[in-house]
Amino acid sequence: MAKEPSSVKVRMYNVGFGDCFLLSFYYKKPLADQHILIDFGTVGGKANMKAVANDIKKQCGGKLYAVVATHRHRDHIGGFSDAGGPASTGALIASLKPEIVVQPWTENPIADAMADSAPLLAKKRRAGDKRIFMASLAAMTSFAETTFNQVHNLRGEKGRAGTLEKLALNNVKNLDAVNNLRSMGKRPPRFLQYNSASGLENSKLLPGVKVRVLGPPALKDQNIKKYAKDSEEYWISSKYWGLQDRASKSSAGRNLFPRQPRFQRSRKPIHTRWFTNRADGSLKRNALSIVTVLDDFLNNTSLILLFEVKGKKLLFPGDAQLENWSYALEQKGIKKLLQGVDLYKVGHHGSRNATPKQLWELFDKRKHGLTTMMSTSPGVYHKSEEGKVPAARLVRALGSQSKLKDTQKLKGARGPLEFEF
Amino acid sequence: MPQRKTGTTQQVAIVPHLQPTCRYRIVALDPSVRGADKKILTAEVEIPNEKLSPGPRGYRVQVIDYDASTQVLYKPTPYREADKLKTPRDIEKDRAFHARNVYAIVMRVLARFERALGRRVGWSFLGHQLTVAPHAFTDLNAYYSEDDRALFFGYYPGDNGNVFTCLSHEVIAHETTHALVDGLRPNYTNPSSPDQAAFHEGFADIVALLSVLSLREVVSAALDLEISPKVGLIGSERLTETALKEGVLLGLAMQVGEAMYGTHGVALRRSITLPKDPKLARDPKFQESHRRGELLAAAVLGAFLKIWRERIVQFGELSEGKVSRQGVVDGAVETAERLLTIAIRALDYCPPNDLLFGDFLSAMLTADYEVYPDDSRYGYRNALREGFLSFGFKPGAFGQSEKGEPGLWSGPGKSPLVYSRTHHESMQYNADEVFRFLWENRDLLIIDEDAYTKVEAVWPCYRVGSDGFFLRETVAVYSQQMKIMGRDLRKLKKELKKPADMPDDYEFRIYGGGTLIFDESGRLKYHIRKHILNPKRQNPRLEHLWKQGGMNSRKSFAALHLERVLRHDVGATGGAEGFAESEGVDE
Repeated sequence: MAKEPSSVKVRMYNVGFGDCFLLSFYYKKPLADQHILIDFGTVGGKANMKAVANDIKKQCGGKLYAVVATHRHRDHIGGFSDAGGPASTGALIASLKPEIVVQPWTENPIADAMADSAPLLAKKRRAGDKRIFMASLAAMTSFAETTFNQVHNLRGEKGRAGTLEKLALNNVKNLDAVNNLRSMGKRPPRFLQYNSASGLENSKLLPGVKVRVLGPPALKDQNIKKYAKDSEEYWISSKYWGLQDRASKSSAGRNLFPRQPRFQRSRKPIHTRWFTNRADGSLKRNALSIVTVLDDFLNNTSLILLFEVKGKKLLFPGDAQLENWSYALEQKGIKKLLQGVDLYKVGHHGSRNATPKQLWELFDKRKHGLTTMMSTSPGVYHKSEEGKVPAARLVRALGSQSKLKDTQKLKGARGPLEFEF
Repeated sequence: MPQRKTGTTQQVAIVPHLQPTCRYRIVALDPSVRGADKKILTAEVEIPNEKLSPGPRGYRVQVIDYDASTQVLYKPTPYREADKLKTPRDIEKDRAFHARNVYAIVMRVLARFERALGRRVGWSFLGHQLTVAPHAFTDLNAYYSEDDRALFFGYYPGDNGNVFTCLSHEVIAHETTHALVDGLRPNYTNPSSPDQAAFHEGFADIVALLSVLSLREVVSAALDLEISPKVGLIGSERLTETALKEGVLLGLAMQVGEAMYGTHGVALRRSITLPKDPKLARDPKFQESHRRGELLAAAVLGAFLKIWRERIVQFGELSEGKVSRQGVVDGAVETAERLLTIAIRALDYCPPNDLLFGDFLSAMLTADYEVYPDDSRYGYRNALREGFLSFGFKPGAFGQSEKGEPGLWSGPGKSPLVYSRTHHESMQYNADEVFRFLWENRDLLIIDEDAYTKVEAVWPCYRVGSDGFFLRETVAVYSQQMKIMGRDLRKLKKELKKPADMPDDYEFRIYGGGTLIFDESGRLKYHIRKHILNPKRQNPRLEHLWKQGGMNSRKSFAALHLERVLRHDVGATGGAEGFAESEGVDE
């Protein structure tokens, strides 16, 4: 019996700004071919998700071995939403009956139970790290949701609200997709952290495939206490998201001084008009910078998976940024393990922070056969002037030092772009 | 426009007297700090008097009470002379008081800068009036925005009602300082070294802290935390340096409220409790900008405590083992005032870019020396040198200057600078005239003629010297920059190194410049210079910034503060090798 697949194919679909990768492991009979879907989502573009879902169904012959949802961002899991009923892409993927669904530990429903932020807002009430962390996560998505709902009310300078809207939408709870992911697997879902068993390895169904989990680090391993020598400061920063969430909700339709005289909108004194317009714009910019921080935060909950098969290493880091990577990179043997990577799924659609130089420079096969796959779309959102995604400097390095497969080259066609060995 | 009686709701106010200053009541620290009577601690401050319009709207500050979160523009409360000193029954609910409070504190900081610098000081934007929005939005942030020519103060629901950042004296003074420093030294927000990145925050903390400590009410209340109130004499054992630090200052900081006030309170607490350790300047943990800023505040705070203690000792014991409470309060207030003057005046003696903490120390020492050559009474300059050294920062000026005191900037010596082609009178205000002087003397002043050079400011200043005479100086600041590509570095100077993997065609800017101080007869006294092609400075700067990926970016104050609350530097990675040690201004 063959102990490894006879061939492996990675398909990268064009989902605009998002990720959708189908890993296919082809075996000689009598072993069945197996397929793993890593992420399926888009945000802010016009991707034909239905067509992609149908092609996935066709390629995998109506049966998925596993689904990997790297983190709870709409551009990674939005396609798993079954809110549209049986005709939705989420229902279609669920009908492919994956054996198992794997996600980062932050998606564990047990953690969810801890996510009640209310107790943390009570003065001086302390809670365990995990509780605070989960409460912060919950407050972040809740804040994003409020921001998304309020974004159409925002006034002031033009041009920014679109970015804010997309970024806020990307960070909402995405509950339909989350619930569908929790229930679609045949076996109970697995929630992973650095070094946990991936649950994907299977000597009978998927022989010859090794999967290592390199991130996210467990909470106790994270560097969250870096600046927190005195717990008070840590407490304040951890409370921030709860307060911010509460603040955002409180402003909706409520006035601070209800009885104080005010000007009608059309009767603002001339000397105030320029300024009030600017203040409206500043509010938008401020909201954008807050949502950007939480976007980065959620990116860092990404699963990082390293597949080893047929002597090749395939690295799928989701949207992990440096903060997520740094734990793994400090662990013994990991740098060596990463040196031989053959395929690198470019983190976070080509953003600057998701491919840290410490990581990129590890790859020995740069200029010697390294393949990179980048799923992105320009101008969908850039978080700040210096934070454009994809980052030109990175794309240039990818292009000159590796064989870059880039969904932008598909010019709107569905694809997929393929990597095969 | 006709003037109308005070006390009516009309649009124009009457200023009954034309005296130059007036007094306002403000929140002394923040609403969480209470006095002996359990009420919010307030203080009276003296600020410039002016003919105000309702808002208040004055000649440098206008309050527009607009809430962008609810899109409500409140009508300004009619201006009443008698309100200035009124303590409202419920400070937190009195919108008009909030407006007066921000107005008065911003004006006080501005006036403090003008007094220290001996001239009018502009905001960092074009125009004269800074807009202040005391209830700008529901948010945990308060910040200065140059583009909006405004200070925004957020509010948010706290555990016990709303928290108003516009009621925190420290927060207001901190933000106002940003608006002023950014005008005086616009290049300090450019990407450079960890020191420069930390300077704005650290300096704003120093000004905020010393502004608060120069209030008699605050120091008096802080003493009460440790000592029973209304006692005229204090046991000297309670006035050791450690007791002042841990009892009084820390006691005060511990009272500062939670959350938004708290982030300031925490920074304050940390600056006070940082153990003196010369290794900290190079410690990787202190390369991050906010933590590093705390070192700067801690160094000045160390000097404050030492001098305060010295003053208490010199004041002497009134009866055995007992010191006058009045003397202790006076000591703190006068020390805070003098240090604040030194710190602000030092800005004039700082280089225009790539500032290091050591440069700031030398600037403080030189600025103070110019006005008070004799420092023997309380030893301010020694205390500053010690304070900085205790965290590992040496003066930027090397060696002994001709003044016989260490750490002061040196003069140009007997250099044969050409003055005959420029006009003395015009050199005191005209940028073109100063540029002509620079160009004429470019060889002697070692100024690169290929760089884009701009004289950014020429400021005539008047300061009162210890001999009672005016000290008249003209401060001129010029900056230089070159837009170059990676490959140009070596061609410009062979010692300039391109970071290893920077592409040849990568385009970026390098900066240099200098501050020229002319004496009253128009002769150059100091040239505080950062030569644009100095490899000792540029190489580590380029290496550091390239590693960070922030070669061309400039962060907004709003982003800086968000990072401060969250205690992490979003997007900035990598260490800061090569910058930890003070390299000083180019000699």
